[in-house]
Amino acid sequence: MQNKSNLSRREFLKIAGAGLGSLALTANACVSAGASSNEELPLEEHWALLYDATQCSGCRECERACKAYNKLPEENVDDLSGNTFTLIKLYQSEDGAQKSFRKYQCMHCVDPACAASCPVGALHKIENGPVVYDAYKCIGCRYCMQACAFGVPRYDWSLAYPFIRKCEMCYHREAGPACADICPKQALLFGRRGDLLEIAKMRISVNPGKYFEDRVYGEFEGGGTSVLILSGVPFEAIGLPGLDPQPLPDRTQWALNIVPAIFFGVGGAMSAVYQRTKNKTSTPEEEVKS
Amino acid sequence: MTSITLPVVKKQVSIGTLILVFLAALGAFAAMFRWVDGFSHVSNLSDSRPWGIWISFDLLVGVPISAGAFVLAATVHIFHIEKYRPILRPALLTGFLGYLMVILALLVDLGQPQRIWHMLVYWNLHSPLFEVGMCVMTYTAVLFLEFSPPLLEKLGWTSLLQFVKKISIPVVILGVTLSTMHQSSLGSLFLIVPFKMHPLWYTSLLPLIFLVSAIAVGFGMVIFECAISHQVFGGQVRNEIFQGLARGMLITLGLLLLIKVGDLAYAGELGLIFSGTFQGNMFILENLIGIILPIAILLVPKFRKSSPWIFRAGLLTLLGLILYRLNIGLVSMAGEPYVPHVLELAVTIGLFSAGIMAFGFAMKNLPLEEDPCTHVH
Ligand code: SF4
Ligand code: SF4
Ligand code: SF4
Repeated sequence: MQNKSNLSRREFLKIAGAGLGSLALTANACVSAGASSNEELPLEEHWALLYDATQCSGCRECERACKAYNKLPEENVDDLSGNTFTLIKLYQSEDGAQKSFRKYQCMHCVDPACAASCPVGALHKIENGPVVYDAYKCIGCRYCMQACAFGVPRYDWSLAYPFIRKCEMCYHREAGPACADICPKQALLFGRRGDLLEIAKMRISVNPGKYFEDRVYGEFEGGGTSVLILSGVPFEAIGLPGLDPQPLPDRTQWALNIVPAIFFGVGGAMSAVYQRTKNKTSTPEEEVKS
Repeated sequence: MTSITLPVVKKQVSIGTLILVFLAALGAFAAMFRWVDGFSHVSNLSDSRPWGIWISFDLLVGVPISAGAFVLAATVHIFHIEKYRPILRPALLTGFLGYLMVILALLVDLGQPQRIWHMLVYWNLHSPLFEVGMCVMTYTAVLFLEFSPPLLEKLGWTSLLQFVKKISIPVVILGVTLSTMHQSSLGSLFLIVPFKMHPLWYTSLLPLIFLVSAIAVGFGMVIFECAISHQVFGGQVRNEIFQGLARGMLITLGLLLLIKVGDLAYAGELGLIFSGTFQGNMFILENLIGIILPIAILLVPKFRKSSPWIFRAGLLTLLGLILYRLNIGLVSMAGEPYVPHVLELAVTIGLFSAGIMAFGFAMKNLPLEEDPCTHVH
């Protein structure tokens, strides 16, 4: 089921010339929260993060900044949790030759499975990209946890009435994500998705062979994500699932699209059968048709 | 047959009833524990296993085993096949109680049970769970309407009874429609997790398989509950009813087998069945018990006419469905190993026991007189 997407290496050639101009637009510049307009922003304008695992030194400043901004208690965990929205993990190959850090957090999918599955729309993608959570709506069904391919939404199981906990891209924060603000290594950049993709592809083209398959994880995976990742080791090796470019919600949508047809079709068929058989006095020998 | 409330109950409380009361009380205790203390000490649910036995059994099995209600309502009221009328009311009753149990189980499972009504207010049309929740709630109300005549008779509210009878056909049609929708969309719930689900079970046809298996077990349940209730409450099941139900079940099971095998063959995944893995073996077990054996039984002309064998086939179908749904919810899913906590099981078993008691109580105290699965020749 999980076709490894073989998305193209040629993509970067197209933009190789886009060059330095875009560099100026990098990091924490110029992304407006865009709260005023109701029109959907084009994808390139969405808030996004670029995590370059080859630049990451594993200092974990981002973890601390996240905790501080979101007022989360310190805890000693090796996975995301109800109180840990982001985490740096170190991956090493068995012989220790290859190693890489990986930053875990919500990927802010372009077409998020969590939001599609949430029955009450508590999780939803806001106009400028972040996938956020309205706690007051949540009924705690945990379908979002089931549906997310990245295993992001978390729960505090010790509580009697827990809420979903996850990174919301600091969408209330004027300057954007706290974690990106603090990164001393340019390993974590915040900006518009379009710009960050260009930067990522520039880094790839300037350093041929440095990055895995010369491509950006999240450009197309699962329909694309707003957290883009560059890695020197295979994506699978740092726990990134291979996903089709087809957004996961599409897999359910067709079934939901035929619901009105079922409603009227079955209803109509039943009414018709009712009318036709009404006047027949059925004999006990008649069969059950279903 | 108007004096119904008679003796049996009062004479002595049977040991069976005592056990049921005990189990139900235990379940209630475990549920309390969850509502007061939280999930950790009651369940083995975890971030990688957000759905456990409560969803896999209480929801995924509870809904289809209540399908007898819509299958029979359609047969009698819409197809006008009158011979099944005597067993309609008990089927509606089981259905209604089944859905009540499902909702009660959800109240335990949901993290914010006090907000279960949010599904009626905050709509997300992209979510199959929204559809399931909406249908389950509306359909429970519909079932109550369908089942209310004996209750209203008993209470003597004739004008309301007249009204309910007047709208009964649209209500039945609505019920069948809602059932088709949510029995299938229960399967759609899993369409979004191809990356988590074992390919033996993951297919785009999940909604169809869920619907057809629910219809099959609808027949199975009616067979089952008729046989049980006639043993417990006396009377004789009419043989021709039994045989008709068996035929319906055979046809549906045949269709189910065709879909499942055809789908795997189309995907070129038949080999996975005999891979010898745990999943492969569970898949074999599920289909052997729930589809192949009952079909084999019912294909033998002699068995097809024998009530005890029909009963066995019905029981196997039911067991097979339970296995299928547990496999979907637990076995096919990737994640940390999960075994339900004792108290998790206690809730499930307790609810089930409460359901059986409620059914027994209603059978004895409500005028199911068109019925109850019995007919003295
Ligand atoms: S990573 Fe998971 S939680 Fe985050 S937006 Fe995507 S589906 Fe939702
Ligand atoms: S747990 Fe809450 S946020 Fe997650 S799908 Fe259910 S209602 Fe939505
Ligand atoms: S975007 Fe904000 S919430 Fe998300 S990981 Fe960074 S600091 Fe934490």
